Amino acid sequence: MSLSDKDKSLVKAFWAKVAPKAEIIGHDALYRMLSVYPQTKTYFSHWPDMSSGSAPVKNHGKKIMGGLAEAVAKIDDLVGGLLTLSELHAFQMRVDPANYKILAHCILVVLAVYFPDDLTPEVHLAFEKFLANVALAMSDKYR
Amino acid sequence: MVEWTDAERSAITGLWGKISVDEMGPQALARLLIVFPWTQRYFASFGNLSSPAAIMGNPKVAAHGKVVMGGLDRAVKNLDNVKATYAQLSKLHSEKLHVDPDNFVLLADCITVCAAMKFGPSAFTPDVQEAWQKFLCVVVAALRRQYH
Repeated sequence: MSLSDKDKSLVKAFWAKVAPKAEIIGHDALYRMLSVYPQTKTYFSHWPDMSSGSAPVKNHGKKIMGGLAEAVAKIDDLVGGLLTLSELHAFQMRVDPANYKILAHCILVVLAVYFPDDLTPEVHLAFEKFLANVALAMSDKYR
Repeated sequence: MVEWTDAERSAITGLWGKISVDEMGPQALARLLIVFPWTQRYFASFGNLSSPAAIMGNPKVAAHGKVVMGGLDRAVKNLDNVKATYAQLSKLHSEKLHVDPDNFVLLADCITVCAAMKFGPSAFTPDVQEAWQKFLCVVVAALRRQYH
């Protein structure tokens, strides 16, 4: 389900709108993932605090959004562009790739709460495809 | 048996009380058909589904959206017995309609996105999302139950 030119331009335009709120989105999406899908907490057992507004959740949310920004910039070659991140998640952190889908859903929900007027069905389609492709690129180096 | 906390019950019924089946049903179904176009295979008789605009303007999609969302109402009103409430519906989807049950999750996700858009960050909080997600998981499991 590769990205068409139209998908890419919809993603870029939508990202330009949401980027100013990146920190809030990152924190909110990550916190929702941890509470709604508590099995994901297993990857963060070393965090002293997982509550809403806590430093680890805020900081990690920021990192995730930074990764997504990079993905948007390298949308024409996600596998190549996310290679280092994929290796990191595959070999060091060993995150089960099923979790990327879970985080993608939470990101989409947060975008829906903050940008209901911009998340038209066409943008929803393009962004959902984009997140699925990011998940694939993140899983690329696993085996 | 599914155990619901008082907070979960009130989050689910509270949210449902503010949802218009006639409004959200068509939106969620249209999004399913647009965002996950392979689901159109079950709606060959619905006429023009060739573009997002066609899908959103299609009266059969709208009508069926209301039917589907109306089905959720029975689950909300029977939170302690969704499995039994949905037994016939599950058989229908399996034996008559031959719907791949993975599609139920896709529709559940579309309903969640529509709810998120409607209620915004102050009402669709992480706690509410958690209760809502649990509810939709129970609904999907009940719909899958009669598949053999």
